[in-house]
Amino acid sequence: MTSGNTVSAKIFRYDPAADKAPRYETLEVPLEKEMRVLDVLDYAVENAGVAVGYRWFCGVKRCGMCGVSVNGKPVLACWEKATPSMVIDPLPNMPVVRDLVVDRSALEQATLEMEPCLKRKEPYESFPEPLTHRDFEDAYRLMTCIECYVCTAACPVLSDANHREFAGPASLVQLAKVALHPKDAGERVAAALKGDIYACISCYECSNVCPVGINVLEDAIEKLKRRCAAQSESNPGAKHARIFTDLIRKFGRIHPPTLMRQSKGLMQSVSKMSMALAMYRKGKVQVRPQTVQGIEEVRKLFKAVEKDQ
Amino acid sequence: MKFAYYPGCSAKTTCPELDQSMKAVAKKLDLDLAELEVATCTGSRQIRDSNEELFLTLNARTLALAERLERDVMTVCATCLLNLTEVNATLKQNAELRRKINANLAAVGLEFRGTREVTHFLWVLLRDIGAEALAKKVARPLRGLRVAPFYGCHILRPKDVLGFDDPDSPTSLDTLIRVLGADPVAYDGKKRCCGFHVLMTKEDLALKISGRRLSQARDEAADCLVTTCPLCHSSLDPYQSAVEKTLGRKIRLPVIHLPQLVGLGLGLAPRELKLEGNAVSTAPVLEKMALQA
Ligand code: SF4
Ligand code: SF4
Ligand code: FES
Repeated sequence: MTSGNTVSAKIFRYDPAADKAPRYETLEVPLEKEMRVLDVLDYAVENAGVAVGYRWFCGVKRCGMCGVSVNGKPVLACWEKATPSMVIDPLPNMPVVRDLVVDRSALEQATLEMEPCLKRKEPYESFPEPLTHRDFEDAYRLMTCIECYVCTAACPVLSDANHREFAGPASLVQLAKVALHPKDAGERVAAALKGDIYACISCYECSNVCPVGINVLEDAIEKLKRRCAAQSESNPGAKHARIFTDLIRKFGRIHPPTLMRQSKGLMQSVSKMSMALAMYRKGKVQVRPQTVQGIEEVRKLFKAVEKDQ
Repeated sequence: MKFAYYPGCSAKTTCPELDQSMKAVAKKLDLDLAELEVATCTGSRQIRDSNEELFLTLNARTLALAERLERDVMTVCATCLLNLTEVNATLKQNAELRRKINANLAAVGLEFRGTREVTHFLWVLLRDIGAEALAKKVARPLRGLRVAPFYGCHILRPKDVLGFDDPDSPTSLDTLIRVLGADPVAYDGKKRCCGFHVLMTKEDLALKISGRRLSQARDEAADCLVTTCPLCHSSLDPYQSAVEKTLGRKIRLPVIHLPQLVGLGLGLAPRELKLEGNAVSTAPVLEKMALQA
């Protein structure tokens, strides 16, 4: 019944205090020009007598309160165009309060624990502070974040693996926003590692959904990881990045058995022996590292880069 | 059609079947590939996560080598595709950064000029050769074969950098499967992550992620899964036995590289495509096609 003139909306309904299990309520809504998901929800309550619970405040992509999931993609209800056929769910990765209203408090707590406020090296002098656009560029890019947690809702480390040690992308954006500020002197590497930043699998789901267009992985998480790699001696993720880089310096390309032995340690690598053997039989393991032709050139480039650093 | 062929580390180490099948298929398709033998690793996520200037410099060198050959770069690895595409775009746009990186390249007598593009074999098949022309070359339609497409993150996202397909509802690999005469399996996991980039450091986490994808494809009664990236392939194929232990469930799903699947459709023999080199036995696929291994 998706004639193009109507929206068929299948809406998640659940009141944990009263209902045994969640259900869906489907309704037909006349499709208006420029209609948003939020308008569909408004129509449900005001015109269709469907008392669905949802949250919103500004209606213009400012307050970050109206996140929902539409056909499996986390979006802002006030900024997403309504389409003829929609399944509207609460944002994943957070408990449901009622219907489309979720409880973000655990995630907000993770943000708070990162202490995302500027900790100055030297006291604030006076206004205006002598800062160039260039100095400020990286932090500025993250200042448009409206803390909607839509990115965190999209993160598979939380949804698919339920890896709750991970703070999630929205909290890491808040951390990066202060960490990248030129006047900041806080202990940001420790906070990033406490939020288990190396659980991030670099999938760009967060960047893909951010309603204000922040490339969350590259502009926040990756920049924090670079600091961790430079400053953390012992974190396995940071160590792995250094071991990987050293292998490229030596051979120009990766030698998986060496990478595994150095990164996982001998004991853990031994536990992979049966798999390694099976791979060896299939011709998937080269016992000795191969060096790319012209490795001298590669080493010269490493030197040229390191001279600058 | 001429390309500078960038196989990436995996095709040269853990996935020799990818390199071999790519070369066999290139011959069949009259793709003239000049392999960039002296190119380095693009750094996976690790070099870009730790040293930006090194990341830019190493990849600028690879791009400059292709420029010298006056060829666009074609790769068979999604992560390498994204790395090379991003470095190419960044250095084309940012003159100051380009000068800095070129000062490094001067040490080896190279210069990045920004005259070439980067592409993936999947894109070459659909954009350069085209579905219609390719369909004409299909000598052995893969009728009745249910193939689960596995796109891979770094061929889809970020969209504004890659731009070929829609990350929310990708179609390219599905189209290709149809062109080869097979049926694409619909499942949400096709556009999701394989977990590879934490496989060495947080294996449990990686296996949970790849396990989700494999069990979904299994549930949809796929005969095999096709990957565009050897890193996805590693998570899903050689690590499949480890995934099975985590899930407590037998999966046994053959995982085939894109050129291997294309090669089957073009009528190449399984041996030419090194289908015996995949970790999970590909025999069920060959049986379904009534082919001898
Ligand atoms: S890139 Fe990292 S933080 Fe972003 S969604 Fe993927 S795993 Fe989560
Ligand atoms: S980074 Fe984007 S998606 Fe994430 S909380 Fe901020 S505005 Fe929302
Ligand atoms: S209602 Fe404020 S962001 Fe949508």
